[in-house]
Amino acid sequence: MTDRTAEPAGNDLALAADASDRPRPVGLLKLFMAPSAFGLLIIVLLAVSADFIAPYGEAEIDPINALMPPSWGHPFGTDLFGRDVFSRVLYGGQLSLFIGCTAALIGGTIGALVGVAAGFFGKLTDSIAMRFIDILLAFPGTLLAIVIVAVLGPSMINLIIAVGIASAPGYARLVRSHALSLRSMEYVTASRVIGVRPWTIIFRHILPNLRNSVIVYATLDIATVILIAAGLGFLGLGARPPTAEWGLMVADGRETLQIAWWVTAFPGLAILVTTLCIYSFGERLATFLDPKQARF
Amino acid sequence: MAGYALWRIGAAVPVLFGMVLVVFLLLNVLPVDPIQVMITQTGSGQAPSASATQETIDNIRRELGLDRPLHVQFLAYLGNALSGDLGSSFRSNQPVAEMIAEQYPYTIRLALAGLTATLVLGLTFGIIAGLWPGSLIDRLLVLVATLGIAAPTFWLGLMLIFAFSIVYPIFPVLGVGSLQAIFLPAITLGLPGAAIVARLTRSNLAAVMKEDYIVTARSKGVSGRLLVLRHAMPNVLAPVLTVIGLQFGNLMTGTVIVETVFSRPGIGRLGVDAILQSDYPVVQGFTLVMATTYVVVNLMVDLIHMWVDPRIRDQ
Repeated sequence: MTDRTAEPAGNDLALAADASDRPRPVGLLKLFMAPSAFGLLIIVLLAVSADFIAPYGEAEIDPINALMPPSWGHPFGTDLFGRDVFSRVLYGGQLSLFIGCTAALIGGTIGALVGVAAGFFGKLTDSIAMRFIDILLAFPGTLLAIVIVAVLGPSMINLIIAVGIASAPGYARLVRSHALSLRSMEYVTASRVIGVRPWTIIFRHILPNLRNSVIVYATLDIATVILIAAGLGFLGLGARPPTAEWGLMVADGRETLQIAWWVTAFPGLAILVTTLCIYSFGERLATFLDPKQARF
Repeated sequence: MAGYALWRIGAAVPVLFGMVLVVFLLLNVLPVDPIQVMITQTGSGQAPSASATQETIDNIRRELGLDRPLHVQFLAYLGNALSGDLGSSFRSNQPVAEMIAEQYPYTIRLALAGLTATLVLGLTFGIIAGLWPGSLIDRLLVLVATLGIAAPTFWLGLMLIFAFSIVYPIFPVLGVGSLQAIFLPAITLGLPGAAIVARLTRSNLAAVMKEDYIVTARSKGVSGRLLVLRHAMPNVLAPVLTVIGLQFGNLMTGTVIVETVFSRPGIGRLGVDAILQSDYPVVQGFTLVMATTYVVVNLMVDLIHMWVDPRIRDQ
């Protein structure tokens, strides 16, 4: 029952709040017709079907054909062990997208729960949670992720957990500020008055209203997470060889840069194109779902 | 103003304290036992020796004070850290503070060079694009800036080495001392920040140029460089300054990657090697120094901000 009364009330307020400076939302069709959406779709399809379309295996070595320049047989050339760089970029895409989505999911879940609890319960919960989050946000750049990898030990899974946890404070701050304004809404007070339990209110009335902001933030975060994870992979703090991971592949090519630029160039280019597509799609998504948050 | 400055300095202390606490707690709930790591790694780093009896382990634990309650250990660590003692490396037994002091100047030099690249590139291109918004050069710069944000630093560095050290050997691949050797690392490190500064400067300047006071100044005959630099820029720079402070954090952790790419010495390399070798005292020291530098730099940025902005200064 409360659900039905809640929805329109939330929407009304959202409309009233930013009716003045709200850009006209682009249509759903227009959103998915964007070049970035198209590019992203191709990247996802390529990565998902890597097992079928990759001409060679992930770790299939062929020492005779080592360090071959790009050709029809090997579009991106081969690396020091004669592995096909194109196939490895495809497999690496699978891994990178998986890392990006999982880490964003971990960070988003932890961050949203902490943020919503802080914003909704207020008082002491809020003070403690926010002081803690402020301290975590005070760690520069990727330092927090690096420390967590140090604690857990360098491995693929630990890298995902580390990057995920390190991105949680950002979500927490975003969700908290929204939850703060939502908790004084009439429909929330009404639910409280009729005796709905706090966490039920949070899950049924607060979080659904935050969905769009969190989706937009998470989309942009996936790109950031992919960049950070690739950087840590490059430093040797993530996947172990011979796993095809983009950061690790760039690091592999470093030794042979002088004679075989393609080993380094293509995995890095893959990262660049992927993050670029996600960032621009995220921007477009922002104007569509959450005009107030649109930035850049 | 002095009151605000003192308050701002005071506010940095609990943050620093909290950061030390977080790092300490994280590295003391390790899933592995540091003593075990020490036994397997000290000396020649051979396989775990069977001769390490329980008694030896207990002795080392007592010697290092690891048998004490956690809060006692923390207070001891904090006290030692404040007096410049960060413990000793598990591997080399060298004092951590000494190891960091050796490498720190390289990292700071690199970070400052990167900051210079951020400022020079970001402001120059931001001003050009902001003065002629919508022009071809503006659109081109926005595109390049977007690429700068999306490109992975480590890859960018290697591509710059390939282009300017291998194909066109203008800059040396290796080398630490010379100005020439720091050019490519600085560009690599500073480029993502430059992209952000350029975008911010561009949009701020484009907005400020439409303000009434600029129109007034222009109608009074102020023109060209004076109009931009004397009238418009002060208002553009305030938010840019804040962003630069925040960007310095990315610069600091960026040095970790740039030092690896260009094979330069520095605490970033020291920290990563320590992580790979489970040398926790060094990891702890590395993290503390990185975090402290960042907090101090942001404190300085805030104080500079206060000093250059008359609205805050005259309060």
